[in-house]
Amino acid sequence: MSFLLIAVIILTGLGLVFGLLLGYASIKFKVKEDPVAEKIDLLLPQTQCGQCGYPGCRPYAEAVANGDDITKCAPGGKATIEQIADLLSVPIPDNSNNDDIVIKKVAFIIEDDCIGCTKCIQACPVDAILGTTKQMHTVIIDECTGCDLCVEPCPVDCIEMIPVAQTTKNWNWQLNAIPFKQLES
Amino acid sequence: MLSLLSSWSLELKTIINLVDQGHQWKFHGGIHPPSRKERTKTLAISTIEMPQQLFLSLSQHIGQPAVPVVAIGDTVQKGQLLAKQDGFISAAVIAPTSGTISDICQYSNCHISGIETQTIVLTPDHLNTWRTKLPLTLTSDHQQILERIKLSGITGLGGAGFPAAVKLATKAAIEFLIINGAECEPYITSDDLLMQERGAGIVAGIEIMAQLLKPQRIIIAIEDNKPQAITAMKEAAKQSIIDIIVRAIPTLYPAGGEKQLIEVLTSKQVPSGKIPADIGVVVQNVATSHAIANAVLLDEPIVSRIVTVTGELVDKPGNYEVPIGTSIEQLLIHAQFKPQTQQKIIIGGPMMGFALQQINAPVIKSTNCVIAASINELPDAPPEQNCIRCGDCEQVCPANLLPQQLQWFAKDQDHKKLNDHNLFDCIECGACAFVCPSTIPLVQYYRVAKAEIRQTTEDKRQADRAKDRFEQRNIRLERDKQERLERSKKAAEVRQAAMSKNSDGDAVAAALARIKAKKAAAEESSDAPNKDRVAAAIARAKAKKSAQTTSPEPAAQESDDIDPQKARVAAAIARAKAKKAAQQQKIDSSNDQSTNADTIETIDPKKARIAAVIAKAKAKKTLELEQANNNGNDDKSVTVADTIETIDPKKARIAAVIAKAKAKKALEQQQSNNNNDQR
Repeated sequence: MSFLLIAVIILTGLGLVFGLLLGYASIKFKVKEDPVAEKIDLLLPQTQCGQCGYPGCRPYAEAVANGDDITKCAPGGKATIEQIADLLSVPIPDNSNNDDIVIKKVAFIIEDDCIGCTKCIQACPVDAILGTTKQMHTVIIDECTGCDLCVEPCPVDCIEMIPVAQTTKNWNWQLNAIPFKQLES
Repeated sequence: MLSLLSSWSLELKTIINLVDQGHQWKFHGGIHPPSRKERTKTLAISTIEMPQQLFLSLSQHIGQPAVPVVAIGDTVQKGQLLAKQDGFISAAVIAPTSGTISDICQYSNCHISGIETQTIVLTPDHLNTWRTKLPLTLTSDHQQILERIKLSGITGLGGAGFPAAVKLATKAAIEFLIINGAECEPYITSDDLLMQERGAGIVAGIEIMAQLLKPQRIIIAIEDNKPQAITAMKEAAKQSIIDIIVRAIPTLYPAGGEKQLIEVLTSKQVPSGKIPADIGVVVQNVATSHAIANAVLLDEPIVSRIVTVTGELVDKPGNYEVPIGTSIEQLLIHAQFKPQTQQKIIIGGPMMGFALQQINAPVIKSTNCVIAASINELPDAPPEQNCIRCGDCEQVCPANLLPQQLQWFAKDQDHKKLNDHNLFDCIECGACAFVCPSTIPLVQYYRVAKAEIRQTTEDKRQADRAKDRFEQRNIRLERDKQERLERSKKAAEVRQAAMSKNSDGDAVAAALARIKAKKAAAEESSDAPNKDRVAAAIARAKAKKSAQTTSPEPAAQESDDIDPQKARVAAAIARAKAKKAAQQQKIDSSNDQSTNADTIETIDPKKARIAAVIAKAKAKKTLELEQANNNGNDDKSVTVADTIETIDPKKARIAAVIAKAKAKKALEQQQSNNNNDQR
């Protein structure tokens, strides 16, 4: 009889202790934000270009988490689509026409033509353009995400998107893709 | 903690004791490729004639390119600073002789990619005049010595090209200073000859480094296939004021690798992702040591280096002391080079070196060897076969890696697994590819994978930064908006307070206000308002009519009769608008729009504005058209634009305006939608 009693007491006690522990943990370690949106946001290229139809990468990540199409990120290209598909365990849509390799570009202001209207500065989502009213503007290349948003507002069309030059530092070691030129002897 | 420390110091003591007793260790793996050094190992260092032009690349080292401090046309003297270091890991570029700067341009560099880099072109005056020298001594201030080494542009001359001053500026406590004279790659003999001929200079450099680092032991390591160099260095070390151990190590490729050499001499292994200084070791090449002695004791910065020119296709092989920036083509001509078809020129050794893309590339600080090998001597690798998992590569890997596994992961672009298998510990020595029975170019796979991983990491870093900046910008915009609201609210409050105060305090003002109000009410009570409104409507109608007749003067006159003040205001606005439109026109339009601007001024303000917009749209359109017919001549595009103008100008104009308005509306709607979504 006493064995039975002891067993019941111990089991009840254990149950109580673990119940309390679990209850505490569920409050203490509660996840506030949607972790999926966070993870998707980390995969996006953060150009903040708005080509997906959302104002920035974070809103698009949230939209994807809520079931939007995963093929809308143009700067991310195929690689990003694959990564998101991998994360969400969904098949890669066939209709995605983003199979080209994305060449990174940066904005370049033709400084002779710039009239100092500050319109591009207002358009830049990452504050990568320097300048003030009636002064020439210029792009901080290291901060430019190549989002294209400054090209349209320019009233004198003095902004160009130029591909990032390949240097010995960012060279990809593709030996058979080396451009060579004939030297005259 | 204390026990740990004491056991560590005990361990260190035993290591030093063992080193003192002449003990040596072994690193994992290693291979014995044919050395092929016989042809040049007995040839004394000789010089070549000064070239007509020197090409000094600003990227001769690992790290940031140097920044030029001279301009085209400047006259410089030998040893003068041409480009200063940019950032911590970077190195200066020095004039190897006196002359003039003839160009600063993109020029092919001594790099495997063949990508052009920023290069200073120096035309020598063949006078070779040194700038004034200010030599230091061994007892000079440490900071001064370090600064001198930095300004002398000294990088690791063994091949990697790491700035020397960075290694010597370490704050870590150094136990071992190792001078690397192993020279384990086949063909290369430049360090061998340097040790044979200039041992005293090397030892002088070691004394300087010992001053800076205060190591407990100094070891010069030389592979035992260089007996003359070992004798010469032992002789030089005896003359020194400090204790220097000269150690012959077994010939085994890649014993000259930094981490491998440390293991052979001290039994210590550099942990993954760490540098030798973290375990109390600094390694410098013998040639670097010699350059440091020159820079500090003679104030002669790095102006030349010793290059081994060898291979079956040169008739006059040798160890040449050449000015930095000499073109490799000229060096080969001097060595009587006889090219073959499908000739390869290899820079560095055959194991870790690379085939040069352009023969006009210059000798840089880390160019230690030029091999003009015949096809039979160094044949092209046979085509790659499938991996048979024999495991030979693992047996020879000096970094204790699993080359076979890394190869699979590299082909699969599995970056996570590559990192887990310590890809970045690979020193790219090529031992695995050397023994591979399937002739898989393993190192090439690792290099591509490394570049990919580096790029991904860089992209990730940039993305994080962009995200951060975007978020910060949004916070700033929100804050500005709040501040603006706050300001206007406050201003309104102040206004209100002032008004209420006025009405309370000043009885006269209040009375006046009352009277005014009464007067106004009286005016309003009469049927004036109706009349006014009717008159205004008539005026508007008339103005419209007159506007259609395209002459503004009669309109102004007519409106004068009805409502002089209103008309005057309207006229002023019209003038201002016309002026504005004209100004805009001037900025935007090309020359052919000027006639339009003239006509616009005589029309109505509203029309003028529309016309301006149209003009703008047209300008853009013509531009596009011009771009479309880019290949055709200009006249053609102009006529096309003209015909468009004559065909249907009105319709086009209306369409353009509507399109613009629609686009704007759509954009606004989208933005508001997005904002809602965000909320």
